[in-house]
Amino acid sequence: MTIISLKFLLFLAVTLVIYYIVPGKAQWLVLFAASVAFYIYAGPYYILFAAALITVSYFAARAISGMHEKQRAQSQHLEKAEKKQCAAFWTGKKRKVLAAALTAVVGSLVFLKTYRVIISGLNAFISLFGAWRFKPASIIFPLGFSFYSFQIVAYLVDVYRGKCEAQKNFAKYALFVLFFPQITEGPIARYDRLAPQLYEPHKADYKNLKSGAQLMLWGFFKKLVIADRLGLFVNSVFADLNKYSGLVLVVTLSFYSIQMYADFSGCIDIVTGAAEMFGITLDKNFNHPYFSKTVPEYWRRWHMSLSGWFKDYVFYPVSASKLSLKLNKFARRRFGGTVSRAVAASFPVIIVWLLTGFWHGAQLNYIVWGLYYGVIIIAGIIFAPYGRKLTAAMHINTDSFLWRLFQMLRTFAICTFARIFFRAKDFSESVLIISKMFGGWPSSVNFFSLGLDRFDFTVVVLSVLLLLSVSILQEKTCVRERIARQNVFVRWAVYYAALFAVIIYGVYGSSNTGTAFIYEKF
Amino acid sequence: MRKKETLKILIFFIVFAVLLLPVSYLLRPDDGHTKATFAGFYAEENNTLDTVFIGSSAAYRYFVPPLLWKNYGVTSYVLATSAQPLDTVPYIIAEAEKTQSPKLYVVEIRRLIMEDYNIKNNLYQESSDRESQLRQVADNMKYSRNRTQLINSTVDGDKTDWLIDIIHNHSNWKYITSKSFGLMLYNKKSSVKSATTIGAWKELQKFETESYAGEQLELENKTKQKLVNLLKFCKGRGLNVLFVSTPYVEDSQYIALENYAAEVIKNYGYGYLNCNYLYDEIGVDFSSDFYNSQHTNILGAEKVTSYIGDYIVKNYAVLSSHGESIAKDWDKAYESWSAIAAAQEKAVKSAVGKNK
Repeated sequence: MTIISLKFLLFLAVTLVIYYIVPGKAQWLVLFAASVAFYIYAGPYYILFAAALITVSYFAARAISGMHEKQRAQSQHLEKAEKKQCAAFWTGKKRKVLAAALTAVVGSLVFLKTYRVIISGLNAFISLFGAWRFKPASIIFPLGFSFYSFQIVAYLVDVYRGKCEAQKNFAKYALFVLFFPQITEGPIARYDRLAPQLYEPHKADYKNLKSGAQLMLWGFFKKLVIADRLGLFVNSVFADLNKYSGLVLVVTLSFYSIQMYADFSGCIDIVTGAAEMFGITLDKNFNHPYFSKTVPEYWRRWHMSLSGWFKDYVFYPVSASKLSLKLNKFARRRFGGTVSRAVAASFPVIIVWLLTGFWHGAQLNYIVWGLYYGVIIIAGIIFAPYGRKLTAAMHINTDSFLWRLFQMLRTFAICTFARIFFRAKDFSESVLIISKMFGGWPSSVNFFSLGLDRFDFTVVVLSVLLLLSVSILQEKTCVRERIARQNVFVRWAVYYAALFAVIIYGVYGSSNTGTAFIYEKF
Repeated sequence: MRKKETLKILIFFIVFAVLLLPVSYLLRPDDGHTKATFAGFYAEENNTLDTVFIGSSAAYRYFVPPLLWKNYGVTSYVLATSAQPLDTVPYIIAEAEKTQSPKLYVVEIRRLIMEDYNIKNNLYQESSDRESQLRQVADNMKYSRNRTQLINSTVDGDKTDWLIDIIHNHSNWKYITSKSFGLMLYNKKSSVKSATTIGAWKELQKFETESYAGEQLELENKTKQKLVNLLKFCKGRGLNVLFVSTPYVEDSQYIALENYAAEVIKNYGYGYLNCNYLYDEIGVDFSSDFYNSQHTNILGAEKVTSYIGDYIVKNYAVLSSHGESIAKDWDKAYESWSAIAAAQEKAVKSAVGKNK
């Protein structure tokens, strides 16, 4: 049941009605039942994986929490030195439990991401010696696994760090992992922010319902009208890459960048809107990333829950690790200044970006994609002072609109280039695209023969302009609140116009098959 | 949440449903004929039609309501769609009965014969053909219980985009013209009362049906069941129905199947008129009256209409008195159609003449 289907809307409506009918204390049970039902409907096999990880992490967190308590109780009456000893003892024990649980969770993720790649690598090696091959078992990657496994890791580490208490109620904890609107594509939630909202009672609130529905509608517009329409063009070019070069590929990749944003942020709007209708506020996952002036800024605005996760659970720990500190010291002594800063940042940055690439997939193109960003960010750190000197020497007003626009376009271009690795089916296809992109520009191209006709192009241009205008407005104000301030006729006219725009101009239905979300496969 | 807010949500969705209906109708495909036919039928004044013709192109290329009016004073309408499946007919009749009380339904059965023939000869492509045939009916009926029942009984699998047809048809926004808005409420009368005659021509050879008059070929269970269901439906409602087969280039299997169908129909007490045994009586001429082996042109349609008109007036109590405004409306329709017919006749005669 995809979240853009009528079935989902019906499921959501029924769940909402039951949720607000039952007593407040039982509301979380409604969410739990709905989440389990939603996930079982997505694939009965998926729930087994989820149940296993939930069970392991539940007991591990409970064990760690229990050790926290024991440590506190024991150290109450101890002297300072003994306290230290006691802490070391319990920390060691907690670490072992945490490591075991993380091995189970992260190991499952690594196994599911890599086993096909490993088997195809082994087969390639074996093929040198004979005809026998490994037959990969048909293990399907469980829906949303990359997202909720990271959520579980964050929970375990937070419990270990004492940031939050372990949940004692198994079903409540399972609800935190499986909460149905967000399980397919996130945002990757943090226990301390999401869980209390899931368990506390909520009264039916007109404002929440209205606001949630508006956000969902906007998400549907982004996904069905923009993303899936651009997808027709992009898919048509990628289906026959050998035919195209130069301008066609540049346009296709730019379209793919817009498609990707409209697809993913559209999904998140639907998810966030659905949660809002239950009175639950999810973490923000997008903040107009294409308005970013630098790549690091882009990553603070794009898939924020993933970049935030990497910052908290990889970047900081790696930066504070003994190895990183040693590297830092060495670089400062040896090089000093900018270079030492770059070297200090390089280690955790590269680790983070290798893992970010791997999170998307174990294939070489995702790893290269991750490394590309790592290198760009490190290069940014190294060249930033020279850039500042250059703009000063050229008397460029860095506060001017034109300069900011240039920076945004530059960031867009850098990120669009990275999408080559992201969209290509493998690394060799990425190389092919790059070589063809710079390998000659065709004399004439009929863009209307590439999956979109003149009518579709008109819709694309108008809807992207609308997306841009709304995004500019959102930078300054809350659009939903602005609409709410209008009189009822204007308000309802806007709602109906949006609703019918999605119904009429959306790309969906039996004749269109490309409605799966791009990030669903991760 | 307060009552006022609950009411607001309710009103919002009611207004949405009210708006969705015409938008759905607007986005339904328009082949230039079928949508206008249904719109025209719905737009007819209540209880003013004496006869309704139902069937496939074997009905709408043969029956000319304005001519029937002119010659016999019978008001009629051809509620036919291309390759109309016979299992949709009960629902079409039920829908017609909502606004009209015709004294006679004339049901053309060629589609059933063809379907059976295709099954027997492994030519049947159910999935690809049937959907478009069913959609011509379902996506031109107004939202109603009859439509829902039609979909539930004829469509397999997921019916969502049939029941809410905008899911299937929404991409038609590209083909909307100012003309489309005229049909969006299904209340625009047909200026020629559904006549769809053609001014083209093809010379054909007649098939000697007489020599197969005694032969029968049993219908497949599936197709026979469709016919039996329709007969039971008509019987149950106490309807006057004449089943017909209009003239075309037959073959031995077709005629044998028609002979078998005739038996089934007669067993239920209904009349069946196979025009393929009546070429001379009708005056149909295969060298001038057809535009392909399956359909008559204007000349053939006029002859078939005249013959059928004569037959039903003599055998069924179809005549009734109509008020002045209705008569005026029909006279006007005849005028409109005869202008078209004159041009079509001229074109056919000229083509036939040139060939000779």
